[in-house]
Amino acid sequence: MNPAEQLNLYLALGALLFVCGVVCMATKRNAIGVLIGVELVLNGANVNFVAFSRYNPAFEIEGMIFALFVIVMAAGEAAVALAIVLNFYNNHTTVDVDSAEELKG
Amino acid sequence: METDLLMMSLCIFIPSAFALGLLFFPKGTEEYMRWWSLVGTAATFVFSMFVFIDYYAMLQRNQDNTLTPAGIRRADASTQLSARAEAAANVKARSGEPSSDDGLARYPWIGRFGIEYYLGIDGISMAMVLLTTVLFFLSMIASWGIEKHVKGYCMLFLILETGVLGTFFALDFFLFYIFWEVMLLPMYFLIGIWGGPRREYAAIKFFLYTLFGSVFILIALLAFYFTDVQDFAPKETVAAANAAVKGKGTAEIHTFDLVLLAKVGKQGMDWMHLESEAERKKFVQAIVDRREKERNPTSAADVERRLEQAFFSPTFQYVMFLFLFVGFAIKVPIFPFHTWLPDAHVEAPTPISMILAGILLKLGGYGILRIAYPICPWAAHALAYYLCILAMINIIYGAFAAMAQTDFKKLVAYSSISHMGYVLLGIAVWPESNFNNWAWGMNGAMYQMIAHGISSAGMFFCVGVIYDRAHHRNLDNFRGLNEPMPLYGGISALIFFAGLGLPGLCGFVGEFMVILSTWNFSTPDHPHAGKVLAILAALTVVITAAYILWTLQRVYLGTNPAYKDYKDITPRELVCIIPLAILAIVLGILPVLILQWMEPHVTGLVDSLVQLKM
Amino acid sequence: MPENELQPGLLFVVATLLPIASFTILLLWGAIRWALRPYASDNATVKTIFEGLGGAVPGQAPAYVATAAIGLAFLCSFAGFCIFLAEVGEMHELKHKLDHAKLHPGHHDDHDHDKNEKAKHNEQKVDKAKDAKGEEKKKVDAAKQAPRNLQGEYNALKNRWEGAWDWARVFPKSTHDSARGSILQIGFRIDMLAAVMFVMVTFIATLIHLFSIGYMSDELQKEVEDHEVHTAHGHYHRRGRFGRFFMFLSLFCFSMLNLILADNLFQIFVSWELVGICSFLLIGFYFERTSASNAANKAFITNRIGDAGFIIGLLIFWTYFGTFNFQEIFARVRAPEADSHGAIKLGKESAGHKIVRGNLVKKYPDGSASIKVENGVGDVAFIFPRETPGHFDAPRLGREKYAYHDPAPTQYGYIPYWLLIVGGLGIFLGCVGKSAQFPLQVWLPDAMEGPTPVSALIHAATMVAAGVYLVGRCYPLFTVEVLLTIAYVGAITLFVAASIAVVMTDIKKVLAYSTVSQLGYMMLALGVGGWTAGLLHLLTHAFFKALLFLGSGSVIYGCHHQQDMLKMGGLYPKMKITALTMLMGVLAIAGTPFFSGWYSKDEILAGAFGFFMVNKHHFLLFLLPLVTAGITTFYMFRMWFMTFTGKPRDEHVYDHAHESPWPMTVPLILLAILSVGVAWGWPPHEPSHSWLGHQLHHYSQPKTVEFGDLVDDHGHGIPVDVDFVAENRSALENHAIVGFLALGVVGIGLAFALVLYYYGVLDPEDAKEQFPGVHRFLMNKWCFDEFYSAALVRPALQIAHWCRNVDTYAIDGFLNLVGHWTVLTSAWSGRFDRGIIDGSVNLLADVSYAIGSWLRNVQTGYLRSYILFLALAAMGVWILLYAWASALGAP
Repeated sequence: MNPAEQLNLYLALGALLFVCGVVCMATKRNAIGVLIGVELVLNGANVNFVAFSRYNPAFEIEGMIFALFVIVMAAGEAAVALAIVLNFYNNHTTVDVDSAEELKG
Repeated sequence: METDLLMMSLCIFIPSAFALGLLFFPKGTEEYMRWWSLVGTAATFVFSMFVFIDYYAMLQRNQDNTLTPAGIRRADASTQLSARAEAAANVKARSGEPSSDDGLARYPWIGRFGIEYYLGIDGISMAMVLLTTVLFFLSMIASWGIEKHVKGYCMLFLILETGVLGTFFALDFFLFYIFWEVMLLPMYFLIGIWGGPRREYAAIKFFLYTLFGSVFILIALLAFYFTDVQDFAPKETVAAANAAVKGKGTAEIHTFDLVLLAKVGKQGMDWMHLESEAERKKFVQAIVDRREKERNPTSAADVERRLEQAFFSPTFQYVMFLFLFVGFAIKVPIFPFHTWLPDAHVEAPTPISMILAGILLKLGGYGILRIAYPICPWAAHALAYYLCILAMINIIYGAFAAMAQTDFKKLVAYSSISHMGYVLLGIAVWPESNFNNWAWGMNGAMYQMIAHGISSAGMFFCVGVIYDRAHHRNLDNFRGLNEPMPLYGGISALIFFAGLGLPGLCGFVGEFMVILSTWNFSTPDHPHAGKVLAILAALTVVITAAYILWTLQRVYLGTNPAYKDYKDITPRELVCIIPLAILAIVLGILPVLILQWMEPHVTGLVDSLVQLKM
Repeated sequence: MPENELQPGLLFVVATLLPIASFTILLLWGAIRWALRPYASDNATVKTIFEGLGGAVPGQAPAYVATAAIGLAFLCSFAGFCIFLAEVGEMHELKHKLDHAKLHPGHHDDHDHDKNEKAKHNEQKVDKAKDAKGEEKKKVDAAKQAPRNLQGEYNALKNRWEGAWDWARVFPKSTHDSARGSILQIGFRIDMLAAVMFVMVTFIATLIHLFSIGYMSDELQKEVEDHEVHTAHGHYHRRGRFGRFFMFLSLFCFSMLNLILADNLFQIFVSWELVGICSFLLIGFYFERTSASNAANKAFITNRIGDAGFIIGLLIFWTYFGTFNFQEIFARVRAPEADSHGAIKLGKESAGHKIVRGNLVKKYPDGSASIKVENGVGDVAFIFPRETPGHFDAPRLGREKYAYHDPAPTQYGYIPYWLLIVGGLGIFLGCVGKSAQFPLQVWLPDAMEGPTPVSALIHAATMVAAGVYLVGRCYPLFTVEVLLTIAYVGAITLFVAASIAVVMTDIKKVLAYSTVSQLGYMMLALGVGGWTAGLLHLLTHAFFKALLFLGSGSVIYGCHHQQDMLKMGGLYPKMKITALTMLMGVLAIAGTPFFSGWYSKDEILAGAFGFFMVNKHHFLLFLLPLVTAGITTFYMFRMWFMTFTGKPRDEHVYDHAHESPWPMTVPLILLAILSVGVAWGWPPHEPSHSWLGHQLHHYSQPKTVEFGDLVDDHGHGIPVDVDFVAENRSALENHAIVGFLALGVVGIGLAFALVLYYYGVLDPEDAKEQFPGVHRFLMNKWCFDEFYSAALVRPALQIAHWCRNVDTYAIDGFLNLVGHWTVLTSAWSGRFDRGIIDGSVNLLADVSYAIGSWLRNVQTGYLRSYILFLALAAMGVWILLYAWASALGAP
């Protein structure tokens, strides 16, 4: 199996994770579920970065750094998002995102 | 440090500084704001006295020892503005330092357009400045009764003072114009916010009228600016300008300098009196020749160019004079531009009426004397007959209109119109011969401005005093105020008699001097014009007496039980009116007090105008 | 004269300034007192000061201040008068010498001996008058040895009696003479007329001040009840104004004295107006009364009409002579007596002191003109040089002379003759106003609204006399035409006023009209060349008219402010002093021999007769005064009889009548004595030998009137003048005839009065019923008021109305129309703005809004739908990019 094919497999995995994440975000009404979807999307992207880092020498360092960035960002995002969810729960006694429709246009 | 610059600038800007200071007063300290403003106007008065002392010392230093009829020494010609301006330029060229005791201060301000921060003082402006500072001080005392938005009132009041003083001090037309406009806005608000029931109408009328005039002044200002004055400017200026263009021909010089413009205007008049084309050519050639000695030789084309000089054309002088005249006539006010005045006076609060009648009207007369006449003398001479007629209409019309009023303040306002007519009459009687009498007229006009500043301010104050008690101004409803308020009645009578022109009080002096000069006035087409005017003026004396006495009778004499328990004039009101009353008496008995330092420059103006080839 | 020596003339200046000092003191006093009043109850210190200044009740102190001031002024002027009397002879002599020396150069030593004798004589008089004059004597002694410097001596003496200060000055360089016409001065110059007037005014004023202390005592109360003013609660009550009355009196005295003091027309004009305003203040003293305030206004405004004329006169003289100083103007308008050839002659006649007329031959551009002098005719009058040049050539008959329109001090000038007339008439118009002459006499009777002492002082003795005084002062300025006008105005006035006085029943109104009438006599006298007669009558009249007015004041005071003679009668036993002193006044005004009025009136009638003899067509100028002399006697005795004799007409008034206290009767007695004797001379039966008249005639009469060396049998100079030679000679010749004629007429008048009012043989009511039209006409004062109201007042008010309407409707109307149009225009442009410009912008906005709100539906607020959109959009972008790339042919 040549490196291009190997890369394609990784990319397919990343795409699968991404699609799973998006579907999870789009379908879950529970805010925690949505957050999980977000994590899936981010990790899907991370798989891509790491794969590129491994198979594209020009992208070796950048891929890794970006992956690290994404992980850090995901951590931050999770913290913030959980705080929002907590607050949201405090205000609405629910974590159903459909009830958060005050911003409707 | 240039002392006169400092003094004059302080004088102008102290009120503004105090106005800024007012910003730091918290709400609820209205009483302190008033005191603060009073201190501001007092400080301004003190500094104007310093300016006056400087000025007087300058006159004393430069006395002419040769001209001594009746053993009296008079100020030398070297104290005239034009002479001082030239001397100042020389001093500066020689030593690089401006002289600090010549009553002139001159610094570039907006160099690109030759606009200067140019202040100067002579007898004409000095008198007006002193009148201004005194009246502002007294009006501030009269402002104690203002309860609404005290901070705003005091600020506008002080800014107004800056505007007025700046106008009187400015010798640069642009600077003059700026101060002229600065003055307009505070007045608008002072009438529009603190005025009577119809204040908005009055304020807008006042504003539009004045703005209408200002536009004409602005046009004239620009027209003067776009005229090349290089043949008249000091050689240093010309040399500097030529150096700047580096040999690409000669540079054009544009200026807002009123003293220089006056010189140009007079040369223009000289030129217009020349009979033939050849003489005119010779005249221009002489100007050019004089320049030639100072720099590059001039070509025949230059002579041709100068023949086209705008100032040398009668049309230019006519149009510019009329523009300036309309602009200033609205302020004076001259019939038919006067109808803003009754409304503005009636609606304005008492202290603002005092300022309006006492000072703002004088700006018109001052403008005519300082700008219109010196810069466009040819037109002034040619139009003298019509100006006199306008003045006469003012005098008679104002007197008759005053007679028909039932509103006390309106009556006083119309009497102002009538009295200001004498100012224009005194200025306008440019005779064919015997200029001595014109000098009397001019001095009379100036004196009348001062006297009217005192008497009309006093009259408005008197009306204000009674308005505060009775809350109406209807002449037919007063009567009998003399019995409960004898002190007020006596002082009012004195002030009103001063307005009536009773000898021994200030109103008489100016009027008499003006009338004295009127008889001598004649033009080639109307040899008896002056006689008719003088007879009319003399007859108006009767009308004036009639309406003033009738007013006194309707307000102070008789009995009226409704006013039986009125309180007499209060100490604060006394503090305000007593100085005016004293001034009215002193200036009536000893006009020499003013004339001795004012007259040299007013007469100097006459001299400089009539020395032109007639 | 050493510079530091005090001028005796300053005594008169001090006399003038004393009353103004009193005025100032009283003014400040009253003002401070009133200003402290509200605070006196709160503050002990203020209270002390307030009480110190007199407290709440008016005190008598102001009267003492004012009376002391005017009394001192009288002493000053009397002392000044004595010194002047001592010096005037010498001065006159010197002047005469000087003139003589000029007229006959080389001969002036002839009179030296005589001169020194005279000087010695004068010196003795001086010594008697005042010890301080010793120095003068030494000087004269020294002068005897040294060659005499007549001019210097004369100037030194003259300078003792004159002085001037600058009031306003203007020095243009452009005039060729910088001194000319550039200074308005105030100054003083004492001549006999001024000195006599000073003594007269201060004396009468002192007495009237004294009288007023009694008369005005009502004003001393804290609250005065004014019976004339009715309010809803009965009579009007007001504070007493004792001090104010004396304050105004002081101001008046100052103005009047300043008027006499003046050496120039300008100063006279100033005082003229001040006198007017004092009159205004005093007539309106009871200002609660509408009638009083109306009268005050009427007086001042009528006077101002005259003043307008005065101003015109001033303008003309200022323009052509460039000065207001009397001496200078006179020197310029009248020919000097001598030129470098000895004397000025026009043809055969001497031209000294004449107005010289000529015709303009040609005018030159430099302002000069050549003038041909004809025989007393021509369009222009010469203006003579003020400073005579070394070689001075008078204009000669038939020759041309160069003159300048605008003369320098050493050049001839010229003035159009008609302007000289107009100027004179203008000045005279001022006098007409002040002296209440026809047609401006209407204010004086109304002026009786003032307190009676005021009527006595101002409206009888002094202020109204100012007009006559000014005519006398300006005499050399007046041309023949002006003098004739003056004579006719005087004649008409005296008759009109006397005719009205006959029917008046108010005691003060009778006196007021008699004043107008007597002033008419003075004017007439001046107009017909009787300068001395007119001014002598001014002086005598002042005394007896003051007496009569004060007497009437005493009657009014005694009758509790009843002025109507129909309510009086039979008062003689109740007030004997008043009645007797008034009788003296009545006799004096009627012209009874040996009473002062006789001396002056006789001379007036003689002068009028002389004028009539020479100019027969001016017979009215004699007839009217003669007839009026009878009428005067009639109405004056009518007044006296109605007041003091017969049966009391009103018991109430009679019962309460009483004689006045001594401050009022003493002035009456003093005035009565002077009314009789003030004009006496020696021998007393010759009216022309009045001492006072002689002084006036000899030392003060202008040279215009007096000329020549005619001497009558007694060695006295005959009043023969240049303009009135024949007239005055005729007057002198017919003096006795006229005297008898006048006596006859006076007798007839007295007889009528006796018949009608004393014996009651005929009932005056019958006359009234017989001529009701005449009576009504006279009661309406010849309908002058109605005429003026219709001809002047109402038109003036109408014009005033028009002016106001022009402002409101024409000018403001136009402006408001412009404003309205502007607003309308802006409304249209506003519509354009809103419809088209704003419309298009709004359309754009509306469309965007519509799209926006449609698109808003996408914003569901559901997280899921957003993510769906996100995914769909990403897919869409990817598809687009893919399609684009393939379209470009990329792999």
